[in-house]
Amino acid sequence: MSQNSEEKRQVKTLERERLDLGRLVKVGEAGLRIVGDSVRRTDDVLKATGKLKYAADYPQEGFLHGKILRSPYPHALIRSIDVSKARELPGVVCALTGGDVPGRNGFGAILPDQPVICQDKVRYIGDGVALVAAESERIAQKALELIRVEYEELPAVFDPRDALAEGAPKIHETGNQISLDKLRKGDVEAGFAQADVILERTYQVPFLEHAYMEPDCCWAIPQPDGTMMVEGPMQAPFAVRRNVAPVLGVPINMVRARQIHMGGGFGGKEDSPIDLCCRAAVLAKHTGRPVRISLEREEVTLQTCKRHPMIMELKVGVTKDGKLTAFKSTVYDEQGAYASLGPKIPPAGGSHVHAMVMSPGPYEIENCWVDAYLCYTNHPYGGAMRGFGAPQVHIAHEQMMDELAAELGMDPVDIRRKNAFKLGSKTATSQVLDQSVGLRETLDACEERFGWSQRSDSAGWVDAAKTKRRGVGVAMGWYRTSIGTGGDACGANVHVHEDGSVILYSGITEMGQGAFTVLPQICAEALGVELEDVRLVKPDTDLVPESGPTVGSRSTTLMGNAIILACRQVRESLDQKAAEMLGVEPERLVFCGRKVFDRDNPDGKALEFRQVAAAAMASGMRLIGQGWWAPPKASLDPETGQGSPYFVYTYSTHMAEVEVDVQTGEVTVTDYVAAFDVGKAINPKALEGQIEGGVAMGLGYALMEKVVLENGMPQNMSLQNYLIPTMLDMPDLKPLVLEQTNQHGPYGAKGIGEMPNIPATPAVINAVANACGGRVRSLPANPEAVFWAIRELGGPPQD
Amino acid sequence: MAQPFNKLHWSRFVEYDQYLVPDSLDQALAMLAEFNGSARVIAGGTDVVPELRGRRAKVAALVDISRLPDMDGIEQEGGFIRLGPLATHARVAASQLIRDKAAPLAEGCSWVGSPQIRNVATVGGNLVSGQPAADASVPLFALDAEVTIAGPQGERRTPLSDFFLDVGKTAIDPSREIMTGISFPALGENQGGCYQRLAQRKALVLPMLACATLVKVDPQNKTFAGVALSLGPVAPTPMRERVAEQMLLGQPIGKEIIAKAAESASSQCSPRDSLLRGSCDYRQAMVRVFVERGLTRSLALAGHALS
Repeated sequence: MSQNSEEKRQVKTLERERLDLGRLVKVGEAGLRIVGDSVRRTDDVLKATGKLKYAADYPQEGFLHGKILRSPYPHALIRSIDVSKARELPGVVCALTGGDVPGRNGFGAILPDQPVICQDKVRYIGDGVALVAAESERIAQKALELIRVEYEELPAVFDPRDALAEGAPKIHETGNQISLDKLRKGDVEAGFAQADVILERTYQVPFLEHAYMEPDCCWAIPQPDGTMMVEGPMQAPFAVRRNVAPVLGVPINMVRARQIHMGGGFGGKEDSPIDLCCRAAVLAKHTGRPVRISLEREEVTLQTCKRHPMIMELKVGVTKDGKLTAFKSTVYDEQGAYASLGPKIPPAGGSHVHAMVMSPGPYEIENCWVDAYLCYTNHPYGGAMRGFGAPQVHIAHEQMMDELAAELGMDPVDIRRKNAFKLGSKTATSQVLDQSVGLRETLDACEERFGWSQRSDSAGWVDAAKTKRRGVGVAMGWYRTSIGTGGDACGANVHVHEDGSVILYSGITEMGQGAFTVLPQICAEALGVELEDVRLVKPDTDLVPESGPTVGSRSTTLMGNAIILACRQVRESLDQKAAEMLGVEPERLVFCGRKVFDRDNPDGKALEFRQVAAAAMASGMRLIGQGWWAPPKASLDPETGQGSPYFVYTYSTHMAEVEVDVQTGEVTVTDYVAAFDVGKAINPKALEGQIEGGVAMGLGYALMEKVVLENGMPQNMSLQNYLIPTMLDMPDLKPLVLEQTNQHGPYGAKGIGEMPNIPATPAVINAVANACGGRVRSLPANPEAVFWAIRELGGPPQD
Repeated sequence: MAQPFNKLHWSRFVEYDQYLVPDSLDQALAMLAEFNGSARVIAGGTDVVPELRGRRAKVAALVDISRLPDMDGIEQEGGFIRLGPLATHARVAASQLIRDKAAPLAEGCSWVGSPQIRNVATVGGNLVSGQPAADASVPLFALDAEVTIAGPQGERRTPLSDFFLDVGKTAIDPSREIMTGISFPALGENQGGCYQRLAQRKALVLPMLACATLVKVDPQNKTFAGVALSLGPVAPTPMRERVAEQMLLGQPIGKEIIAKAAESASSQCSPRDSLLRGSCDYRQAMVRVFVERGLTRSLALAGHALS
């Protein structure tokens, strides 16, 4: 994507105050050596040479193959199931129905509302009604065909507004409305009274598939001591364990979950491994043998979670000089058949509440009012997907900002600058942003690099034949670090050995984002050793401390702090021993590049790190450190949605240039600049990778992605028809990285994983609208949608 | 309505009993004859393999013709270009001869799938699969190509106008017959042609609309001496816009007549409303745009750009 990334990447430090040490991090006196360096990712060579094993590459000898019989109806009662014919088929070891689940017949990332095997009813096409384990995949598949199920079809609901209507078919006993969450700040009607312009618009986004490259594959292996070991590509091994244990009816310590290197997750593999591991474990329990379940691409689309679709009705007021006075929004957030990661974990966990909190955007608005409905339908279910509710609401408020600007005759950049968060701003939840707020700086940096004013002046016809128009778009965004639940904690163990080598035990998973590189970088920096001295033990719930899930852009920040705390514990021993050996006060010691020396006499005697470690060990001193870090307490009032739900935010501005063929509606993104305030770039190159991938996903959301559903059935199950951007769809992307130190982050860092894809979608849509006049308010803006949007205007602008 | 079992349960296995690799055409035909309709010819495999995945189609044997001799040539013989059906899309797209004398075909072939797919997928296979939006078939149809088919009764020649029968169905029976040649007139002086395509992304995607356009100009009278318009997918098979072609034939070249022909082409075709590839209304409107643009560009390529 970028041919000369070295040249394009600009790391700018806006502010490098000395860190508040508090309970946190002390930056080494000698400065940073490994943190901030674009070291090569630890898995690069293995991936490039094909040596890295993904789950599907593991040997299958001795395994049984599990298959799931899926419901052909979106909503139906199960009258009867007959598995006897399947059981008789040679090679079939077991065929199970709902009554065969040994423990709780339900799993879910938040609520256990999804049956391991449906017993009484099915709620979406793809719901599992029977499980089979057989000696081969072919036999298992054949066995599924022999199972007879009698259904009684029920009326199905496919629109969240229909689901909320009185008398709607009830999908779960608890009713279709999972929650109505409210945000109330100031007096929204008074705010509208102050406004000179009030616009009302409805924006809509569809279900999206993650389209991770690696289809899901998990297995369960019963251990001789009665433990059940489950393995697979998974973002949240601890959540998998927390579900498998009750499903088997055993305590948590009798389940061991281990992560296999992931071929992409994007939030989807927080959820799907819970499903597959629970089902594989039930089959393994019944047969006493290892059971593997591997999904084909089409089955991934059918069975696993998606990005939540939303209908967002906005009403926003603004004064004639562009100051926002009131924001009102009703959000219909479609959960689909099962709760997955939608519902609230108090105070502010779950995708729905997150969407509500973010929905007014990164702007100072005195008066905000949001009603956000989360409800069940008979569609596939919404889960976590890169941004967790934030991309959807950004698509609404960022389009609205442009529509307001157009109404006022204002530049879209100016209206944003007028309202954007700065240090000390109060959010819609009345949280005071008291540190690390680089939003305006990202706007300035983007504007300058992109050349906004010249480019927006030259928007218009590209060719003499008047077929193509060029336009520019801007969008801003913010995204939390952490997940806003009560228990958002991360643990790490660090073990220093007598030869100076180190083992780092962390439960944060690798899915391509670079955790297995960045976390050892932090560990090496904190101990003063080299990166190659640190070996990372991969997530295994038997070995590593509980770390929570690898989600919410939390890994680098939360785990980074835990690692530093663990290192500090070991350093207590090392400091004491080195002080003795050097005859100086421990406070004067510097650990750096495998050397230990006196800060006040850097050219004097230096000890080798390994000497100190060996001496400490010989004296029986502690060389294993444990760090446990949780962010400052989250709060959110359940009635008013007021509080401080997340402890720090990442900020971003994107600018896109597009060309639109006004006769066909085809869009080409021709240039792109994206600026981020990330606190501190631990590994700038890996960070740039996150930005490029995130922008690609956002561009796909804008222009082509949609799970097309007809009567609850996905019509584009394979990647032939579910389109994501290719290299040729990507513009020449220029990432800008800014650093506004996060006082609560390791070396000042905050999260970046999800931010890049959030403003990308509205930036592209706004550019399309700028180019051709037509605005697509229901995504995607594929050629046909753009064509009709232009038609609706009576044709493109003629200037 | 219940969804069918095979839409909900997928397998990675490509199912067949035997895989046969004949050395000669006669041997290949004999193998097919022996299986009496239950075998299937395979060449590049990029269409056949996905179809056989999880027994979506059932065959007893695959007869791999990719090693048959003299079946992948790209050459000119007199006024005709002769293509071996085993020529891959990558080779056809890169061939200087095709780029000079059959530009729409080179362009069409360059759009098929990805580089990996184009390196193995054959132009013969593109025709035999009989898909209405096939990127090699649409331009070959405009080029008035004719195919040679070998079967138990010997060889026969069929023009593409008689070849496409329905979605996935052509005049060749891939369980008994083998395509042995493709030929069409080379473009010469005062002729020009191009291929256009509308899709939802820039690569690796089936078209919502494909359009091949050819013109021959009478340089003395500045009239259309020949016109071919072929479109897909606007009907169950690739489609020639004969009415619009006739409207133009012999007429003086001009913007107005081109617009009229484009309008006619648009009203003649009736693509179905597709959730994935666009509504009928939209695609009809696009036919108008593409025919107009295609004729304009083809005239320029023929050396007679519209003023």
